[in-house]
Amino acid sequence: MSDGPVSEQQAVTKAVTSVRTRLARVAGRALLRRRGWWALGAAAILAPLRPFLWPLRDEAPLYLGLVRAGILAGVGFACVASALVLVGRRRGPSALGAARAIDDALDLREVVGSGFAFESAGGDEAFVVLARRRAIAAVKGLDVDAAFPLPSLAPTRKRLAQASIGVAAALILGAYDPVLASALIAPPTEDERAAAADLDTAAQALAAALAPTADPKRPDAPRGGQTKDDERKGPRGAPRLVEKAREAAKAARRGDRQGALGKLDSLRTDGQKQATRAADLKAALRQIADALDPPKSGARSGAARALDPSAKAADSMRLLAKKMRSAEEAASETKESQERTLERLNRAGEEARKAGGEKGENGEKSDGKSAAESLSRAAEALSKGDREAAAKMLDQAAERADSLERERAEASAEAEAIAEMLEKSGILEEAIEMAMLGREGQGKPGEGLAMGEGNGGEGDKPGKGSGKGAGKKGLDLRRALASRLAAIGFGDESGTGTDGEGSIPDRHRTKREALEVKSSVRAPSEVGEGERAIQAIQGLGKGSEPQAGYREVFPSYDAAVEEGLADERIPAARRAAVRKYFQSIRPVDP
Amino acid sequence: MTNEPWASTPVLRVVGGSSVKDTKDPKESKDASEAAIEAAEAALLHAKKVGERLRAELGAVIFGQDDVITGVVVALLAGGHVLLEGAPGLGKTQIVRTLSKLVGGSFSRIQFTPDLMPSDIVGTSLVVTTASGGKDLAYRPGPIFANLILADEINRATPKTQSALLEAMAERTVSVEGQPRDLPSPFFVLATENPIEMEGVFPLPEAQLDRFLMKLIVKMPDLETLTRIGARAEEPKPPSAVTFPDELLQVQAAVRSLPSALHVQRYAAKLTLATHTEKGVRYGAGPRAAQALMSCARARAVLDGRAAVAIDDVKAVAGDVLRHRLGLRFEAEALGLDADKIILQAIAHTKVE
Repeated sequence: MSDGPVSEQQAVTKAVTSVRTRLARVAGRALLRRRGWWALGAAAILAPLRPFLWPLRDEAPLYLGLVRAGILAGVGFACVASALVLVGRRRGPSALGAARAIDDALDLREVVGSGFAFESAGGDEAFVVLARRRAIAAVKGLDVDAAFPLPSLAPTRKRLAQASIGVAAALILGAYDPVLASALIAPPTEDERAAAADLDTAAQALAAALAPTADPKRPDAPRGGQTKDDERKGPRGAPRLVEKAREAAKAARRGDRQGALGKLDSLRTDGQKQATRAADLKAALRQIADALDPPKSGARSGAARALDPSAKAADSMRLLAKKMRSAEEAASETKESQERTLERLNRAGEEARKAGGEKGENGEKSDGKSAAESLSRAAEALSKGDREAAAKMLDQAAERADSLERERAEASAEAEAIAEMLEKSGILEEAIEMAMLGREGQGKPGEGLAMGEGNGGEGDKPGKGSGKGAGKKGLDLRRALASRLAAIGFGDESGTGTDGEGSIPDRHRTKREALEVKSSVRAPSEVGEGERAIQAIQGLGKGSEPQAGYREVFPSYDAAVEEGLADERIPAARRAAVRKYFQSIRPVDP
Repeated sequence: MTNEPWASTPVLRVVGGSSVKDTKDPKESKDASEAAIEAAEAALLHAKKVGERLRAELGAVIFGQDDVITGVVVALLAGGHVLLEGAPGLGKTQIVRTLSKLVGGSFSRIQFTPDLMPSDIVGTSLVVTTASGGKDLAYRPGPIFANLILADEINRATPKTQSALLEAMAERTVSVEGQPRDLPSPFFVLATENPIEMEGVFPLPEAQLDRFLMKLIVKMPDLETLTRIGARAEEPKPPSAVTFPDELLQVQAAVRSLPSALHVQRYAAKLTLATHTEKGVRYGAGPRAAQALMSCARARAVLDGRAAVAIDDVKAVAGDVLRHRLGLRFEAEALGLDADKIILQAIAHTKVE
């Protein structure tokens, strides 16, 4: 039985579908209105978690914490609110529920609900058709939007105030940053700013020193001042040092003292490695030279050779090559002399192999190893009687030695700048420590006694470091630290030292007794960063003439100094002073 | 009455539940369909009017018992029997007597007493003298053979007598001396019982209570109603009939034809099942209760002039239909629960699909 035109046949279903969609929206908004505090809660939870979820990088501006906390809060709110709306929509009524909702809205009793059910199920009984017609009449002209208004999401003033307070508190917690807090409580001091500026300047100087490192006269010098060898070995550490120094200075200027100290520590460690490179190369070249031309008693031995070891190594190789090619030398060579030459070549090769290490930074053969191979082949050729091939190999080894020398020269040049920069970094570190100690020490007497006295000096550089510090309160710490610096070699050279006494505060709060130096002693002590060994040599500061064997014995000092400088226990910031001292006492050629 | 539009042929076919598809010509078929729909609408309207008239006339005589009056009319339209329970003097008998006047047809009142025998209800065969002077057995129908029966204080009769009445209620026939005899149609029993007096009464067994479509509680009227009752100086005049048995039969047919959506039927079934799971229930309502729910809901929808049964109709009649079909535990009594409260809980726990 037809109940009307085709367009009317599904009129109830269409109306119900429309209402169902509307009611899903209503349900979504209703759930959001009812559970809106969940979304606020998510925002309030996520925002304070900002330091863990989205920490600031060192160079990030401090206001970024607030922005990120806001973003996290917004994301949390949006996610939960969206989820609520989706869940609410999914919880929307079924089609039959929507039909019954129309009945409720129109104050009818199951007219539309039954009509919709009959329309869905079909049936042409008279009463069924009658029920459907009544349902169609009911939904005709139904204004869905008016019948089912969307619930308002506007909160009450009280709720709005509560939410605002909660979100504001969450944002403040999320914006909190230890650096920001410490910068606000104790802003960077003038000393820190000045030290940071100095470190920046030193870093720029090092960067400038790095640029022309490559010798433009070298045939393989490419663009950017980096040679093919450099490219093969990969980027060196000096640029990284520059970057770290700049970051440390920046952190210090921001007030991030812990960060700055951490970067300075890293800078010192890397700087020490970089700075020992020249010494390593120097020692390697010297060992090769010694192997090829063992020191003889007499002139140009010991310290004299140490002054220019690499040139000697390359020259020795070339001279030996020249002798190999010389017919006279070949004719006059005895079996013993050949064996001696072979032994020297083998020993030099061994030394070069030790010096060259296993492989280069990029897995390539190092110059030292290449030189060692060339020397080994030279020895092999010589043993076979092929003097020409041996000479050729020696020439190759000499080229490698030259390369090592250039590398040593570059490293030496960098080492000076690195040392300068490390010195500045040490000053910055001290300034930061002073700022931190000053803050901690306000109103507290200092603890710990002076560690001793540096009583050194020789020849025309008399003097000894001395210090006297008594850690008292706040500002006196500076004096105490000066005493400490003097005690480990940064004292005023022209001053007349006295035994250190008093006490200083240090980071480890370790109490130490004063030490009176009356004879040569070795006194282990702590200066805050680890074990230190300070040797006081009785008598050397009294202006007596150097002993006769001093010139001979000094090369061993030189080696000891280089080894000592390579030791990580010596702070990089102090190494320049140590080197300077030993340069000052280096014997001069008559 | 035969000139009423709903009494024409199409209406009778419609209320019989069959669709009109017996013509080949589409135009003729459409016209017939439209006529059937119009007839259905007219039948619905007429049934509503009959019900409203009954309610109005009963309400004019019985004050303050609107729910009971509506229940009685609903049961009458649905074709079921009613058990009225209430204290003496609340107008139970008056309701039935007034209804008998309104409906027309035959009316019997049976006062149940402990010595009442089944034959006193269904009738018995007596030895009579024939015209030829001989003797023969002649069946004399009992008071059960009437359109409207008032079974007053039914719980005072013995179970044997009660069962005789209840069998007649269920089967709408009585068997006397092995011969079945049809009861008149419509056949409507209104039984009353007094819940106060427990001495010398025989409570109706649960299985027999199930025969009643509804159990209506006649409550004490409120102050306003009592004032009105007291102010009435004399007995109201007996009302005249507003309908007659044949018309009532057609109205009942129209009620039975009222369609119900599947979700309404399922709701009634779920509600019936829900009575089994409520706390304190010893046994719940059976399938006959589900039928009764839908029958009464249909009648209620007709009284409201609607063309389909609503879930609200089911909810509205649930109390009257289910309260005498539930067996409660002592636990329910300890918890202060009665059948009505449990039914309300079941309604609350039953969700609409």
